Amino acid sequence: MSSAPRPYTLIAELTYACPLHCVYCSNPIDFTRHDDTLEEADWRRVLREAERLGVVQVNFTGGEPLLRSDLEALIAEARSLDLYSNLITSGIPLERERLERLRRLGLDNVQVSIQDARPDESDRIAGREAFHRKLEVARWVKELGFPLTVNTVLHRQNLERIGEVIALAEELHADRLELANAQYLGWAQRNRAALLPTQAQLEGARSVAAAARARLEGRMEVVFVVPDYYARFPPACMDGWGRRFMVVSPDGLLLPCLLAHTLPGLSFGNVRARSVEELWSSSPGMVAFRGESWMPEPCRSCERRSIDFGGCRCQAFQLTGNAAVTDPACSLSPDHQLVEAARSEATRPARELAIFNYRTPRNSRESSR
Amino acid sequence: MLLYPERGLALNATAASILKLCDGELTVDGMVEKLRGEYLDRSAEELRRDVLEFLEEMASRGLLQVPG
Repeated sequence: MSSAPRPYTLIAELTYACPLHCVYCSNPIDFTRHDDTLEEADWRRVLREAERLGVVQVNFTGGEPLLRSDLEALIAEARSLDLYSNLITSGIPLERERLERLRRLGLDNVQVSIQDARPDESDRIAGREAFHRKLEVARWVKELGFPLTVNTVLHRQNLERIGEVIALAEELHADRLELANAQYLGWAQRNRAALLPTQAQLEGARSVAAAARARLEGRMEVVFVVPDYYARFPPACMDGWGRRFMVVSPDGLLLPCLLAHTLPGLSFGNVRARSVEELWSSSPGMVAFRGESWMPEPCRSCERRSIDFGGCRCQAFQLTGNAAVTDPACSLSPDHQLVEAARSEATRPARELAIFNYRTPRNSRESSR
Repeated sequence: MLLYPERGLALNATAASILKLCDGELTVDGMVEKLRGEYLDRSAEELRRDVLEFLEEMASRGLLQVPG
């Protein structure tokens, strides 16, 4: 690799702490092993160095980014660098006054997660009471003049209510609605039996979303994301490894995706010790799956290799134990039967709903022992 | 580049010029008038077509809002 590609987006995971316990959380299962050791000065330097590399957008996320008291300072820093800033939040804990302050400091967009259109269902997925508070926050977002993104993660227990979710987002005057199916990695993989929908459920929801998308054109952007398990070919995970997105974890690792540090044998440097530029261009983990030279067959000779980049490395690892094989979600993968088996499992009638394994510090510690 | 949540749109020079004129006040005719000074090789008709096409495209993406 002679020169690294230009990154466009920094995903700043400010903390893994979160008041919610969503059963499909995208944080690693062993999140309790990582502290919030990166301090305000480090984060500000990360923002500056990322901008110098070409980054134009920053997503402040977590865990719950509002738990960091230096969020204000980081948003101000992003503004001074002319970065487009997005706060990705559960909405808890937030006061209107603080949101107003973030607005004044130059925050551009707020994304609020809502787990379901029904309060009891939403709270059951989140593992605590949060629904009504989230709606209140979403209203403040609009009142204060921010664009509002509503994000709802879809799965077999709420896909039937996709119409209600769309209606709720309209009522909140969301500018963008992300109807993102869970991807079966980490916590969602652990809760897969309770979450993976059937093909029929998914198709039904997809057509409701398509109709809404057409009806709401120009008013609300409706984005529907299919689970990789039901795609014939995997999507370009993160737009390609170490290509357009950089993630910085709460403890300072510079990563190509949210879970790359759970892959064995890869070392990612820490932004406390090295510059963002150096790590982006040459940390061993970052270059491991960048480009095409790592690819095995059938990717290596596949026409789609520059479209999907071989799919998701974490999915390959979680399903086969080897991060360097073709994503089993791909219908051309020799391991595709693993995905087919899960899909067929999802159609078994009268399946009992498994008990959720919530994303809690205790469950994290127990499973990473 | 026009940035919005999770996306960015790389604008060509004409699109960028038009976008800069979108101030909520200027009419399409007003925009065409201003653009004529910048794009001497293009007729008012061509510029008008560019402006309308661009505005429609932006509106359909929800990136441009009509006041009121």
